[in-house]
Amino acid sequence: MFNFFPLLFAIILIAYAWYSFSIIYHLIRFGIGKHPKVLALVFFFGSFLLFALFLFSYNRVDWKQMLEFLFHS
Amino acid sequence: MSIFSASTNSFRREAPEEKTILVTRKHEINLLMPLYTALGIALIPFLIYLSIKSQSWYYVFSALYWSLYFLYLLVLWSLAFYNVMIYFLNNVVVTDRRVIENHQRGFFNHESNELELDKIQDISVKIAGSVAHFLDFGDIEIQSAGTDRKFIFTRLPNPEKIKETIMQLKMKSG
Repeated sequence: MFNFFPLLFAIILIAYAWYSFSIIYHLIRFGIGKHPKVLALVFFFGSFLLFALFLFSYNRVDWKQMLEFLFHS
Repeated sequence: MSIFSASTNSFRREAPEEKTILVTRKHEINLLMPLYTALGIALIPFLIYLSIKSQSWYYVFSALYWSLYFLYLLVLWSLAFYNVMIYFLNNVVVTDRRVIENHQRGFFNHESNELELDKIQDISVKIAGSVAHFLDFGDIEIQSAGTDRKFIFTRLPNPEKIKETIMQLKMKSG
């Protein structure tokens, strides 16, 4: 059976990557002065850190234990 | 792939040997208010965590709770920086030749208006309200000669100083 969720995750990831690229591109390319460039860097590292934290915590989710708790309590 | 090549200008469509005198944008309060709101919204799940952490069922759902919290922060972070981008790209550039108003309406959606210094007829400053007086921001209206066209820049910091700068440049230019 076709698993829809990896495809959905990939589509969301590509859309988010495009969104992030657009913010960084606009700040670097069209921002006047030093501040927009520094902010683009801050945005990049912040996004990377939050995405890494999301993936790390998502990998720690014990779905089996959660389902057991929900259906046997 | 010209979008990846470096720009030699300090702003879009800068003329050769044109000197940038002033770059200004709306008062910082216009950026800080949404950012503080986002910060407040970001803390809500953390406050919920403080109230549920002592519950017996919390340990079962804690990993899922934190992963959703980080996803929520990622979305807020991205939306906040979209606002930062819009704030920084909506600006007014005063050069030794002209006044340029840049409007960034969204991704790849940009509008630019310009007025040559020698066509400026009158500049007026409007500061309305106690907050504007206290934080020193206001609107600048530039009337150009020969046309009915008006340039209105809203919520700029130090509007009197900007007006003086433009007037001095206009005197110099002729």
